[in-house]
Amino acid sequence: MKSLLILTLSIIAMNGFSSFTFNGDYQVHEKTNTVLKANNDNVITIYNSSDYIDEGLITAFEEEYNCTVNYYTFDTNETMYNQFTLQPEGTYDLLCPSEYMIQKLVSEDLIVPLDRSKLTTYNEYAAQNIKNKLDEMLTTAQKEDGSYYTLGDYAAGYMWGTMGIVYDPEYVHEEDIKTWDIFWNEKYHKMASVKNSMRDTYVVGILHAYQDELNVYRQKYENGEISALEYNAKIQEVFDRHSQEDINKVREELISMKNNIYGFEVDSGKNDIITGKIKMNLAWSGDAVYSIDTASEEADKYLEYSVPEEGSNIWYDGWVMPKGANEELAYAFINFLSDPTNAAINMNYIGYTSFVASEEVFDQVVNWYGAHEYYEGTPYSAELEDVVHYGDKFYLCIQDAQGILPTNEEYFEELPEEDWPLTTPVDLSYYFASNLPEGKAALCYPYEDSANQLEAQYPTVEIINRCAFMNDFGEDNANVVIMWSQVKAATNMVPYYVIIILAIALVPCYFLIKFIKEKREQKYLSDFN
Amino acid sequence: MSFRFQRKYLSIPYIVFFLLFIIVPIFLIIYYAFTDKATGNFSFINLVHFFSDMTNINVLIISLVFALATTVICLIIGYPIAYILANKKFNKNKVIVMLFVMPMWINFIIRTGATRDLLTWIGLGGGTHPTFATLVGLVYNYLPFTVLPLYSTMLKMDRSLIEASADLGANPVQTFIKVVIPMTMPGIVSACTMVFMPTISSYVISDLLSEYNIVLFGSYIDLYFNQANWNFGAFMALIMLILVGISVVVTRKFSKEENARTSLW
Amino acid sequence: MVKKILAKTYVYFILFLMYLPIFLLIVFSFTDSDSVGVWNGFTFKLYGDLFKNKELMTAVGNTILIAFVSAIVSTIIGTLGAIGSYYSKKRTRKVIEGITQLPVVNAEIVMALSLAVLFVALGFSFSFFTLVIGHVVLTVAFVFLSVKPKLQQMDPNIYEAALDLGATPRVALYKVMLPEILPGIVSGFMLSLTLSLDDFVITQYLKNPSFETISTYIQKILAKHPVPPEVRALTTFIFLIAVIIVIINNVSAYRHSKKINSMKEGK
Repeated sequence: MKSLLILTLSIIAMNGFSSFTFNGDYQVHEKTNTVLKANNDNVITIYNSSDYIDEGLITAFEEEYNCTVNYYTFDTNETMYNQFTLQPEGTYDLLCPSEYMIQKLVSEDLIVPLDRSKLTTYNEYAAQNIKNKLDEMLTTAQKEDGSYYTLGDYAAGYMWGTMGIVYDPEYVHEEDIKTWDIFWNEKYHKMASVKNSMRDTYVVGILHAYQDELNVYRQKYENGEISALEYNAKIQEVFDRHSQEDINKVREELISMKNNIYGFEVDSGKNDIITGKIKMNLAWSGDAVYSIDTASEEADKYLEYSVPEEGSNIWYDGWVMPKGANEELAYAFINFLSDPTNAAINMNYIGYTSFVASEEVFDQVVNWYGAHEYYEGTPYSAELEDVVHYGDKFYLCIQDAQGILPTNEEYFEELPEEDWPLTTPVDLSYYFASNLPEGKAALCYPYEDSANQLEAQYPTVEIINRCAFMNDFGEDNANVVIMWSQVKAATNMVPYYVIIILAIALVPCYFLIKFIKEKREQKYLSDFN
Repeated sequence: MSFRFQRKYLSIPYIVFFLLFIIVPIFLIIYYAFTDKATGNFSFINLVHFFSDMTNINVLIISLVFALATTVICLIIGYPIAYILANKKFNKNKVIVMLFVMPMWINFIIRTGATRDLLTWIGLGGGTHPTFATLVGLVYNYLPFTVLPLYSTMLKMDRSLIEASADLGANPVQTFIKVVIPMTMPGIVSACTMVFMPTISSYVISDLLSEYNIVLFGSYIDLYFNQANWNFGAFMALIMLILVGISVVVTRKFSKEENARTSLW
Repeated sequence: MVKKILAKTYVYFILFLMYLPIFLLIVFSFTDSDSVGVWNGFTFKLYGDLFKNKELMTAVGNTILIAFVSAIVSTIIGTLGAIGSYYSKKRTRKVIEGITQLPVVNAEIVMALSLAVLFVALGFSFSFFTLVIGHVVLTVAFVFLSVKPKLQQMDPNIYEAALDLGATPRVALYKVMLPEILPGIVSGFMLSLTLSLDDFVITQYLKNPSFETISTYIQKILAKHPVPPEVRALTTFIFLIAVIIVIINNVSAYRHSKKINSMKEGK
């Protein structure tokens, strides 16, 4: 706003400005140490995504460990990378990037492997199967024995989730949403918004480009010709395609998609779908939970979340430690967040799915979705129903000796049918089983309207099977950036060309008119003389 | 030899500061612009890359068109305002001029956010009407920069010439084209420069108001900077710099020419 | 007459449009809805929230801090530069005046990017110091430009007279020249302050990630949300300050003209 100066200058000159002072009417809490800390023992500097923690936990941590937390936030992994690499070593003690960024940081030797033995609380409470996922993902760093370090060596998982589409079933047909085609479907012209993010849209583009191939594999999987593992490997392979040819394909796909959708959004989509501005939104599961929840509570609107059948992206954010970090406090912080109660508090605040699968977290899920704790050997009884009561429906029921899930008819026959829980319980044991006390099963009978939200938060094994993670593009990243800028800038250029040509054509016209005028003036003058 | 104070030495800090933080950085930009990111060697790769990809040219053209449109709309709205305000009968104590400047003292990000919220509220937000919303944001932001220079030129304008032209039989349209416009040309030129170049390089306004649907050259540079491709970003900054240079030359030429003309009057 | 009414209507209509977004923020600062357009009943709650929002208050403090520090630095450098160049040889002066135009015409994003590149090349990490340099780059030329005309208006003989009367050059500078060009220095300082308070691009590129000013703090939120509710309350304060400035300015201008008029009459 440099021109503002000139402006003000002229105004000041105009009015014979004398001097004035700014009145500090309001009190300012000024942080005098604007320069980041020196490596003090009781100071920890954390760099996390914005809106990604219950900040009360930070205060609690400070009190518990009698330390100071410098807590800073970024909006995208790329911003984090830029800022992080521009600061001297030892500036940050903990970062929370996504899996591909962790790979990038490892490949540039910017972070150090964690000492897993120090992650005591995390080891105890984080869900084993998701931890295993981290250990399946390789980095480019080699161990002494020649094998590669995994992401699990470098990162302690924080939150994870899938990518899918939140939609309004009033406008969007359930059959159409099963495939990524929906963003290209003219029936839904200008109804969907998509993340303004290179990598997320790349997922959509690459899956759509190789849709047919994926469908063949899905068919094979459904017919039992290939295992879930093989199926998942195939999707993973498609995800990792980023040769120039693939990038060109994705570009074509995305440009044609851009013409059919409402627009790109940074983070407004999760609210726009509630207000009805859009009917579909490409969303991360945590945002989907937010949208579905807020829509039902505040706008009395029912939204659904779907992960298309071709497959989708599963992502993980984790805590990593840069070189020269204050290790002691960093491990303490990770363990602090992994504490069962803290994890539940945090999850309640941000709405994403925590790596922690403690009983406390499960109970909270039970609380949210009106589902049921489920103890073996406890027969259903009306008295018990009165004793433990969440929301307007809560039952205790039993599992028979064979571990077969009970049906409503069997266990709720005493109750009127409208009080029955949903007929299909959601089994979360794949996630929680290992951390629940003996005899307690991770079964949910969600409220009628909350199954959609529960599924967004804890995708079924079936969904996880068809989700792949996305490796860092490595060398090809620059080409993907170019592709992305081309997509972003793609628009109907005709009006712009017309205007610019007209404007350029005006220049010779101007000189021509000037020339004619001068000639005339000369003629007039000579006539006059 | 003893140091003898001379007043001209006072400008040394100023010159050193300029050298270090304005001149050297510009050379650095040029250096980066002609360096290959991968090898760090001298290369034309950024230049080739820029001109071989139609997208880059298109972004530039879109930016030019937006800048042109913003300038024209600002002039159409601002010219009559300046003309009215410069009329002493209407505007005795300059309070109204101050009123046009006052919104500028509200933080520019807040103003842009407010405009976006307002447009979204009335259903003309950037998601559905990106071009409209962006133009509204740009015009809103740059209108005062159009009104002020026009206003200060018109204050100096000799209004008796307008009457003279009418007395000599010119109709109002002729008077306007042949008398008023030439007399206010310096104001028009400086208004144009204050709007045109900043629009091309602006990025917050177009990003926020078009909800990221319209990419102007400024946000394009920012995009590459954010993806840590500094060399290409530097090359585009260099193009921006060249455009600035051209606009300065054109402005100089115009204002000189017009000065010569007006002095002829 | 019709013409005059038309003209008035036009001007007030445009003014109305220009103030509409700001007034909306101010009006909706008296309710506690999440975004403009929803009225949840009259309350001063947002004004309380504003002072409780530590991050925003820190950002306000930072904005004022950086504005004053950089304005002071650029006022000193710019004023000295203007004085020095005024007494330099004609060719040196032309060169200095020429480079002064650079930051005035240059696009802000180019300056920001080039400075960022410089600091990285020098191995500086972004800090308060780099930010001050960025803001000084942005503002120093304007100090120069507002001091220069005052130097030209000054009677060149009074400095010489002071020297003749036995003053040392330093005393002559302080006691004689400085008062003469003070109005230019003050308006240069005010300009720097205004520019720096409003700046976004330079700040965004050169700041330490932990350091937020009003502009960068709000921009970060705006990428995802509407204007945050507390900022609506903040807008009221900024607007009030602007109004006060305009009033003071006009009163002083009025007094000034009255003084001149009475002086004229006195003659």
